[in-house]
Amino acid sequence: MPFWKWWTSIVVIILAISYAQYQLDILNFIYNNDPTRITAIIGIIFLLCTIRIGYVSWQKQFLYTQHDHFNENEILWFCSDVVMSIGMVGTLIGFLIVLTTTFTDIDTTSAQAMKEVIGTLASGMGIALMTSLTGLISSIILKFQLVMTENLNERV
Amino acid sequence: MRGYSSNIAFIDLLFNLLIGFTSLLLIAFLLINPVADDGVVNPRAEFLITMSWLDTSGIDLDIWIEGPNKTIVGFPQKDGAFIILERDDLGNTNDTFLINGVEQLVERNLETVSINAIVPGEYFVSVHNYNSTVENDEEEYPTPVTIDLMDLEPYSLVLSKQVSVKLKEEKSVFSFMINEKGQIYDLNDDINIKIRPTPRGGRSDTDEGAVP
Repeated sequence: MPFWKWWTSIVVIILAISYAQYQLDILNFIYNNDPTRITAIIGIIFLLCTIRIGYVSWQKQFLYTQHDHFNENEILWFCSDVVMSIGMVGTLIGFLIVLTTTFTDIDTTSAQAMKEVIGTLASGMGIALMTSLTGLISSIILKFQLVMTENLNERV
Repeated sequence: MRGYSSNIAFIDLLFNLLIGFTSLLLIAFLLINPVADDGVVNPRAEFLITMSWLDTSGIDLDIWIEGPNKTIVGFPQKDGAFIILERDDLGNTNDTFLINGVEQLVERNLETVSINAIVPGEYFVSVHNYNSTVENDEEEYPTPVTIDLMDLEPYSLVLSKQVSVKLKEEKSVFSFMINEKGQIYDLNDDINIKIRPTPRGGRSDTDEGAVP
């Protein structure tokens, strides 16, 4: 029963995200602190892959379709690495923001200008860490789903 | 091969650490406060010549300057047009002030001559010991005195020379030239030219009979 396993895991993940959203307003926090929208791209890829994994496991269970899942799921495995790589891209963009915007027309004698510069620095660091974290978590959950689906398939 | 493991996460972590440390470094640099320019008073003069000796000394030393137009500035003639002696310090004799009925002691032995214009030519500087006796036996004798020549536009300490003067002695300290651009050149600290005038109108080549 690969689909029900997948369904249970998805329910647990949705509950966890909902709890985090309820307690920490996490989605709003990520949306507000990532002007590059890289986390949104990671989220969309994660969502599509999760749906695809659910569909594959549904096929296995109800249609008894015998896929050559080593080839079938290759794109999903690739995507589970891609989300991490996109997170890394976000890190580099954050680094770029830290390095390029800090020293442009900086007035070290003005307290207001210093505040803005430190704000930009924090923003760059925020993007870097946020995208990394989103990429890593998405990758872990995707790989977990894939491993679970494939192992169950093999036992059928 | 399945991507069960990937080193992207590790590289990502290293980059994040790098960003963290870089940001800390940048913030540290930004928070280094620049030296405040407020409160710095720039003297309105081109050059300054200061003479200082031991603050507690009772010896009365006088600085004498001769400008290019033969103007001689010393304590009897403090205002020499563009060469001005700002204070005749008498050792510790005039260090006591009565302020609001309270006697206050400001122990400082310093005479300052400011040159307020760029007048090309040669300048001579000498020091005269006005005292005829040393009242404080513990005082170093001959009296050591430091004479500094400063260019103020821009600031640089051109020369600082220490000499020792005996009682009633006038000692030449240095001579220097100023050009049209206000630059000091041809410094000479090995001269023996007395500039203090005598009552007879000549130079104080002899210490006796000089104007006090």
